[in-house]
Amino acid sequence: MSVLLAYFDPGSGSLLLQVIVGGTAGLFVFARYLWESMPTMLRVRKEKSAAGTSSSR
Amino acid sequence: MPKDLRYDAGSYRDRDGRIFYSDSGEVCRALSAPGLAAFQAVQSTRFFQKGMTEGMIVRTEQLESAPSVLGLHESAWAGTLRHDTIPFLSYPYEWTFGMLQDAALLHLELLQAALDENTIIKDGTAYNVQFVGARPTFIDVLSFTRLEPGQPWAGYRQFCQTFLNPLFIQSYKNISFHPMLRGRLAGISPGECSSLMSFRDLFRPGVLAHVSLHSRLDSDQHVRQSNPQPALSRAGFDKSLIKNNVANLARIIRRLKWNPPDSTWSAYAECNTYSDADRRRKAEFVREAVASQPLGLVWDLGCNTGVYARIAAEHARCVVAMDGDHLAVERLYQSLKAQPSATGHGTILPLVSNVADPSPSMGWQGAERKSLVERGQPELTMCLALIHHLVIDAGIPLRDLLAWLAGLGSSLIIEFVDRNDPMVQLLLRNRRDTCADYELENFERRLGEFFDISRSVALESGTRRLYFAWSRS
Repeated sequence: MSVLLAYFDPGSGSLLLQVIVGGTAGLFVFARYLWESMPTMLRVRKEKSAAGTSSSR
Repeated sequence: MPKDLRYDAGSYRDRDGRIFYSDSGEVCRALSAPGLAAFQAVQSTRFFQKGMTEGMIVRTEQLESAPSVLGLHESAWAGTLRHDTIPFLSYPYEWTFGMLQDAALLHLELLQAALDENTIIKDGTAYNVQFVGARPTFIDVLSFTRLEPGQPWAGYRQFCQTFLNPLFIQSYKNISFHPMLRGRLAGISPGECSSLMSFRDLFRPGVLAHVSLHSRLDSDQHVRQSNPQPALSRAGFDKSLIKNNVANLARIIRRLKWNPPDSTWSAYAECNTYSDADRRRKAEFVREAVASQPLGLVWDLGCNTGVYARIAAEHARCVVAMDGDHLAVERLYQSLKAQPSATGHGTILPLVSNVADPSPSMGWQGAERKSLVERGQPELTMCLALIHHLVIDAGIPLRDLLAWLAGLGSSLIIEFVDRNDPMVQLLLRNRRDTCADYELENFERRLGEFFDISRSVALESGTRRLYFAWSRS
C-alpha cells in the first residue's frame, strides 16, 4: 500500500470521517479499522495513564 | 530568475506547477516532471475532454516549447501549458449563495466523473473555480491526479471549509458567509461552523456528520496526532466510499436554499421612484454611450438587478456587475442563468461588492488574492443612482469619489440624484446633514475637474441627471 501525502494537511479527523459518511460499506471498513487500531489505542491510553501516575508521585 | 518572469502570487502551494504570464499576457502554467506526467495522464481521459468541451474545465493546451519568458528558469520545469484567459477573476467571498452552490456542484460533478476513470481531484478549495459570466469553470487542471488504491479524498476538509460550511451558515442560519471567507482564505473550520449551529440544526441534512462529528474528530487529540491512512487502506477503504460521500454531498448541497427576507434593494427595480418615461430615457442614454466605442471590460457599480449591465453587455466583451446587496446580486445571477446574454453579447459577471468597502489584496505577502482594481481596470464605469449612497450614507467626500473614479482611467456614465429626490430625503432623514458638497453645481464643477463631459441629460422627474464623461488621466 502506498500512502499518498497531499501538499497540505488533509486533517486526520477529516480522513476518518470519510469512512463514516461512506455509506454501509464504510461502516464495515470503519469496524475493521477500529479492530486493527484497538491495540494501538489501548497501548497509548495505558502509556498515558502510566505517565500520569508517575508524574503524580 | 529573469526580471520579467511574472509568476502568479497565488499559485505557490502546489510545487508541481506554477502559473505565470507570458509576454503577450497569456496565462501559462509551468509543470515539474511529476506535474507533466499527471497532466498527460488526465488529458486523455473522457471526463477531462468532455469538461473542456462543455466549458466545465478551462480550455488548456500543452505548448511544444516554453515561452521565452521562462528563459533561464526553463530548465527547472519539464513542460508548459497554456490556459484560456478568464475575463475577470472573482473569489468566493464575492459570489452569491447560488454561485457558491453551483461552483460546489461543479466540483463534485467533476470529482464523481474523475473517480470513474480512476482519477481524483487532490484538493477541494473553492478558489479552484472561476466564473465566466454566470458559468462556473474549474481552473486548476493540476488538481486532477491518478487515484491510487486505498487513497482517500484529501480535499474533503478543504471542500467543507470553503464550500459546504459557508453554504450551511447562509442557508440554515442566514449568516453572511462573505465576511468569514474574506477574513480567512482557508474558510470556515468544522469547529467554527459547529459553534454556530443549534441543537435543532443537528437534524438538518448534513450537519450532524459533516459539521458536528467532523468538529468532534477534529478536536480529539488522539485522532489529531494519528495518521489513519495506512490503517484505513488495510481495512478496505476504496473509491466507492468516496463516491458515496460525493453523491451524498451533492444531494445535500442541491437541496440547500437561501430564503432571506426581501432586502432594501432587491425589489428596487419594481419599487423605485422612476417614471416609465425616465426609465426609458435612462436606458437610451446608457445604450447610446456604450455603443459609442468598442468596449472590453465594463464595471457596473451598484448594478442592482442588472438592467443596465445587460444593456452594456450588448457592446462590451465583459461586464462586471457589482452591488453590495447580496439578494439583489443573487437575483441577477439567477436571471442570468435563466436568461443568459444573447449570442454576440458580452458576458455579465455578478459580484457582491461594496464600492465603499471593496475586496482588498489578501493572503501571503498580501498578494495571493488580488484587490478589485488589480484584476483589470475597466474601459467604462457605470455609476447609476449610486453616488448619493456613497457621499451621504458612506460619508465619502464627493471630490474623493470622483478622483477615485477618474483614477480608473475609464470613461464614465454617472447619475446625479439631487437633494429633493425622495431617495436622498430618505438617506438624510436620521442624520445631521454634513454633506454640503452634495450639490449639483459642485458636482458638475468637480466632475469637470477630472473628466471631459461629453453629454448630459436631465430626466423628466427633475431630480436626476445623467452624464457621459471621459477621464483625463
